[in-house]
Amino acid sequence: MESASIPAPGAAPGNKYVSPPKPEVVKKPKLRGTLEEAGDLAIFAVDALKSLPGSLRYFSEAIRLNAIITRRTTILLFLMCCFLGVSVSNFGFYFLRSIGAADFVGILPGLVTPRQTGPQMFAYVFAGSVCCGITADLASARIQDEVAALEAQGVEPMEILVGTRIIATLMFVPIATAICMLGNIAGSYFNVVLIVKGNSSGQFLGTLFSIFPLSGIIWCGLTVFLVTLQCAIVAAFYGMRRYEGGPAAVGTAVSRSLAVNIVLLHFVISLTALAIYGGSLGVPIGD
Amino acid sequence: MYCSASEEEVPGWHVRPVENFGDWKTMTAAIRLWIDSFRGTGGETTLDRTIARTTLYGLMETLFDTVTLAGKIFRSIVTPPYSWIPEAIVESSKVFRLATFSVMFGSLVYVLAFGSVLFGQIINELGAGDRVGPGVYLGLLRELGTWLTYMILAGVAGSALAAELGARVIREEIAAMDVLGVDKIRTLIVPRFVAIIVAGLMLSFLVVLVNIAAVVFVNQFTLGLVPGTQRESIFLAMNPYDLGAAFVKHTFLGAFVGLIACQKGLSASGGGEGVGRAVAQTVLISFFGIWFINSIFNIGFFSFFPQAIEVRG
Repeated sequence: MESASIPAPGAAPGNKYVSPPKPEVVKKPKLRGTLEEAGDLAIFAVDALKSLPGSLRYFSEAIRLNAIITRRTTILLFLMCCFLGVSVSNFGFYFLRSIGAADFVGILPGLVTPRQTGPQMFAYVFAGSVCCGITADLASARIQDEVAALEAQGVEPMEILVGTRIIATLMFVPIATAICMLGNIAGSYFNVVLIVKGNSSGQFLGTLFSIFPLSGIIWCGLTVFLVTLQCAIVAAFYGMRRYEGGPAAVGTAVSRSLAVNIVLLHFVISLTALAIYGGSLGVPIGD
Repeated sequence: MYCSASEEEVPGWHVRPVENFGDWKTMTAAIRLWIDSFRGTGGETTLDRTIARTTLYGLMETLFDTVTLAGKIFRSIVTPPYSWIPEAIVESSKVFRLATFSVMFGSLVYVLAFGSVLFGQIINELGAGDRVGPGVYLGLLRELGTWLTYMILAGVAGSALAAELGARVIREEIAAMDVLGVDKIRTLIVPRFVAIIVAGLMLSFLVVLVNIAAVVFVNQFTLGLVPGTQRESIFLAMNPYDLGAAFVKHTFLGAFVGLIACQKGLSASGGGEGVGRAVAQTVLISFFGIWFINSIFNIGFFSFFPQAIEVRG
């Protein structure tokens, strides 16, 4: 906003017969702004991870935040995972029927849930509800100068605001892993056995759990952990950033953090799955 | 008596706000009171409040307000001064430019990693390598493309729209428009609503096209499948039912995302924190609604149009 009064670089200052140039907001080139933002995000991520040991001092705050997150998100997460299970089994049933393998529809949720859809739906719900909440929370604290007040009192804001939130979200990971896998399986069961009536209950569950690897649960937990860390750090970064434009900038911060989160989460999930399953398929077929 | 006689002579009368529904307003107030009785107690922090308000009460309130707003928007679209069309074109190009990179990047990474490399490999090992192309095509058109496009669109464009409208409400620009007698629905809401629908439709079919091309290209190297064979089997899997169903479903979803963003942005209150809350709720309700509409629509579609799921190829 201050840059509005800077004259355009081409105007000659001494020539008074030329009308003064229009006030024009000098914009940075878009690519440069994006790269700067990415660099700031990386620096912030390192700072946030470094502040984690110090924020163990405020562990009770982390537990309180975790209680809020768990209480508000668990049922929603289960419901959304049910929708994803319905979607996956719907597609899988009709696709496998076209190659004459509709009896084996259970292998699709069994394969897909731990490596793809469980972490994915968790990431959507997490980025949509919790991370937006974190950004709105931190941004309104920044605008009301609460962060500056904390600094003036000698409290490190990275520890009490950012570190506690990251710890609180990481404590949610085991619950989330269990809930998202349960939700996916429940949704698939609901669709295949109760709505489409394509399989019997025993056959569906038998096929599903014959291909569901135990190690997949651990890898699912690892993916959920990485996605949680990424989403929480991005949300905290956009919350702690300085914005021009008064109180309405909180909305901009939330919208921007979500836009970055929802692209990055696909990237993180895909790369983690490729790193884990890319070399060996991890499927008991053809061995 | 005097007022009603002179109403038609007042210049500029036709631009009065659309909200004067007469008895409709009283009725909405009564229903709002009834819904208000479900309201729980608020939390202490912003995090608590942001997540807490998306409860049964919040959903009912949003549903009611959204239906009301949808009626107003529909009325403004069909009644004659079509002054919103030029701005709708401009806005849809803006939304398209805003969301294209995100949607393409997210969906390409995702579809290549899962559709081609991981699950293509599994299907290839089962001896059905020629089914990878049609599988990815049908998956994209029926399920995957829908929610990849609309989740990212809701996250990028819907939240930006809610933030913009919420900022205008906080800066009291909307109230100023009301005082000046400018129809805010026609000038502000309808172009953005139409823009999200148009840009969403274009993006969703572009996603299918680009991802299919990328999968066919990459399958040459990862699975050793010939592009010509894959193209043939994809063409065999195409039928008009899937395309028509995708068109109808995507129109519904775009309208839903745009409506929720407009409604939540217009009902923002309570300073900057309120705008943040409105954006967060927009995103959450859009996500939930996208999955709900998608699931219900697909179950119904496969039941009513069994021609679409015949064995082909």
